[in-house]
Amino acid sequence: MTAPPISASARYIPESVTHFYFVAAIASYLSPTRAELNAGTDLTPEIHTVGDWAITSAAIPTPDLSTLFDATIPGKIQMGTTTITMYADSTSTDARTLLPRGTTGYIVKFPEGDVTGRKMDVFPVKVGSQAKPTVLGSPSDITFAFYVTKTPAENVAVP
Amino acid sequence: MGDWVRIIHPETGGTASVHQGALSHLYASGWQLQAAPDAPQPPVPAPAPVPADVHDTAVSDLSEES
Repeated sequence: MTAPPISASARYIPESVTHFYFVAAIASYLSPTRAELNAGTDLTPEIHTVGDWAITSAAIPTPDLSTLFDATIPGKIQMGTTTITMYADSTSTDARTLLPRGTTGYIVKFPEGDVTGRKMDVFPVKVGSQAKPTVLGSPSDITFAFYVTKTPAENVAVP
Repeated sequence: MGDWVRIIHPETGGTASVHQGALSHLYASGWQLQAAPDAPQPPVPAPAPVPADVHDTAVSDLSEES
């Protein structure tokens, strides 16, 4: 007998499924309430591209004299690319007004949408910059760099 | 730093410090400006002075009834 296969996934692409919220305040970010999420702003319709928002762990080598193999152990938790790029408005009334540099709050990522029972990641953040690259022939956009200020809450059940 | 204000959400009770420019977005989610407890209160207008002849007239009316 062989090991049973993992259960099959219903595969999807993020467009029209994944959502990003900005929430100004959450009492306990490890378990946000439905009312707190509803008080957020859904950034999704203006998002052009996003960073990976990956929660990773550095590998710490633990070599020893008895073997040629370099064993590793998990190190400190780190963040991948925590950016969100949104479209610029021709009258300058866009996400720049919601997220000026220095703004603190929470980015909530719903990989499978804001649906009760699914999973979300909650990132306590501070806005670091609003980059406005000029690319000829492309829609103008703004890349917001977020700095994650505390350990993110990963795979929290959507209330 | 004067461009930053405190807001409160009446349903969640949550408070946050946000830039004034963000208020139009946040009002749409139900946030409201939070009144600072140490903010200066608007001046209360002083009561209008009562003209002296009004008081005299009232006294004279009473004296006429008695």
